[in-house]
Amino acid sequence: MVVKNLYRADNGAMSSVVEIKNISKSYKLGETHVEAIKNLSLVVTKGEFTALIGASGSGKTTLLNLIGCLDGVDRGDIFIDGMNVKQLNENQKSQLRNEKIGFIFQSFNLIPVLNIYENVELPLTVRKDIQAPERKAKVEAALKDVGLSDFMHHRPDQLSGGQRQRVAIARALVTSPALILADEPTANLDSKTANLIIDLMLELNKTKNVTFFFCTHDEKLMSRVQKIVKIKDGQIEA
Amino acid sequence: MIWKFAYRNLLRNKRRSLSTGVAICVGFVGLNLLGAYIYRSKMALDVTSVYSAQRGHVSIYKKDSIQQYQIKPKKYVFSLEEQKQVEQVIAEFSDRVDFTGKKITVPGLLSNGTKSHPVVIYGFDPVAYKKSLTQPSLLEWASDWVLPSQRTDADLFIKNPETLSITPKIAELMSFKYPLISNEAVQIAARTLDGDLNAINADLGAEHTTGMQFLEDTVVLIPIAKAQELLATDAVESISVYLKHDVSVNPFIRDLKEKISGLSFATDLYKFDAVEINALHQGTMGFLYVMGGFFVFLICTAVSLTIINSLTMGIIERTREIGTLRAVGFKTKDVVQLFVRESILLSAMSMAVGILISFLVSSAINAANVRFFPPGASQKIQFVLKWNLYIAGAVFILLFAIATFSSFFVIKSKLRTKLIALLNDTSTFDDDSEEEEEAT
Repeated sequence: MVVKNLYRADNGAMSSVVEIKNISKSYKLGETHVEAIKNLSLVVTKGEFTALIGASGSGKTTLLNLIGCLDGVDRGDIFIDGMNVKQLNENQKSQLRNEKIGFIFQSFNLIPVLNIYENVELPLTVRKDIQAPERKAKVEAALKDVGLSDFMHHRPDQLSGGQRQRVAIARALVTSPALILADEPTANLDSKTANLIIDLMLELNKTKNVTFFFCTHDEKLMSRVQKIVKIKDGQIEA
Repeated sequence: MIWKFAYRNLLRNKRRSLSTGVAICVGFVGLNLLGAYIYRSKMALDVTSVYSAQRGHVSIYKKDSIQQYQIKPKKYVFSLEEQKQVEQVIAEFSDRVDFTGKKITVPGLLSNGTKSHPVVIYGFDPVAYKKSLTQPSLLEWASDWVLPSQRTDADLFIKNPETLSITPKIAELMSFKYPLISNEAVQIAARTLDGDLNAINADLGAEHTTGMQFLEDTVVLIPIAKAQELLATDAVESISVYLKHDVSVNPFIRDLKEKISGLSFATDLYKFDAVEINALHQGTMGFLYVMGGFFVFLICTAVSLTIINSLTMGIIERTREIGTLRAVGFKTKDVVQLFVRESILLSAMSMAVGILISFLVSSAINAANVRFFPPGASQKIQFVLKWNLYIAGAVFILLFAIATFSSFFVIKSKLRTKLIALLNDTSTFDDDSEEEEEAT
């Protein structure tokens, strides 16, 4: 992989999956200049189950987008699994996202024309190092982990909201990423389904040591996480 | 997987895919049939130039004869000895040459005792004439350019070397009874190559058409021996070389030029469609190519805009999905490939239907026997569409390339949008959201 030489010179703390150093990010919304993130630093270590909380407009989603390489920082550095994302071009960032980061979106973002199996398989289709039999095994394992083995030939529109979010989790899991980022994963779900999704995420965190970093407003979810990071006006508060 | 994905994307908005497919299909059929018409016209002009007009694939003249023969005919003809030398050179190419023929033309007067009419007398080789008119390619491509009786009476000039052939127009102008009474005596008069007046008898026994309105009241045909008798000479104006079916003309001309340049007299060699001897071919094909090019441009532009429009709509609707693909690790080229494959599938399916429609339309038009007057033609000819796989293949490649490049540029342009803007797109029909959030 081309990005290998972009690892930190000191090799970092090997257990840190995300290391954020003094990042800032600002936007221009019409005539208004918004400083969404101000000189923020943070470390997420392997196996952590971290919730990012804060009021609306506090910079949660912006921070999540920056960690997920969906957007670029103005200043500072973000290291994902020891790799400085600031120095990566767009294609290298795509590769990094594919190999190191899984995404769970608030509105699931499943592809409607693909069935569940194909949706989960999607991130692996661009991987040349994974052959078809291995790909099949990984997809089936991911679907088994989220309890959707019997639904693999269904289309997203044939599933409930909770099932769709589980498909999204399977899609995030299938590449065995170092980190799974989730933006309000339970926001579009009823409380019972939301609980089931939280259970699933916690189980995956415990049994498979998957690192979760997610932003939420959900009180129930906050009460069950091991680490809460509070953000206010673009800065870590606690 | 990606092909399957592309195929299913086409089925998302069936009506839009169908309308785009119809545009590609109609464009394909239009270009295909236009190509078929131009191809048929070219082939018809080629075979009539070579065989009906007795030019052969290559015409050999004395140097500058085309410009000077009418002024100083005696100086610009091949003497008997020179004819033998040219024939010896041609004999060296027996593996490529099918047959040869000699020609001489002279302005003269045709008379039946009561009426006279100025004509151009074409003296031709009766054996070459027969071989020419019985060529399968002439029947295939230009059957309307030859009168049916010309083919059946092709050996009349061999059986009776006195035979003279006139056009239906000359028959009308000179009030010959129609159909022609065989062997009716006529007289032809002309100046000999020495400038003396001469007249001979001939038997009116055949009819022909030049295919061209402006020649139809002037050209009479007689065997070359008879023309030479009229001109009091054994010389010929030109020697026509007819090549075997699969021989390329240009390399042959190049080789023949090299050999013939060793003779003691200078010659000019002309391909059958050279502007010096066949301005009609050049002019007609030039017009058809310009017209064809214009239509190709129009159709390609329309197809391209249709694809761009359809794809742009599809991309706008799928903005967030593109963002999702990029988020899960699709590189720019992976997304481009997906959309290009959609175009490839749609254009391939549309053009497959287009091939079938082209076949049906051309068969129906040919069966309907639509007849029309081409500009300057002496009679109506059938509107024939003869398309072949080469034309279909060329059109296929052209539209395929347009579809591929159109989709490539549309998606490439969309992928310049920031990933975060793609993912945050909330409006199905508004893709300008990325402009609102502009990183400073």
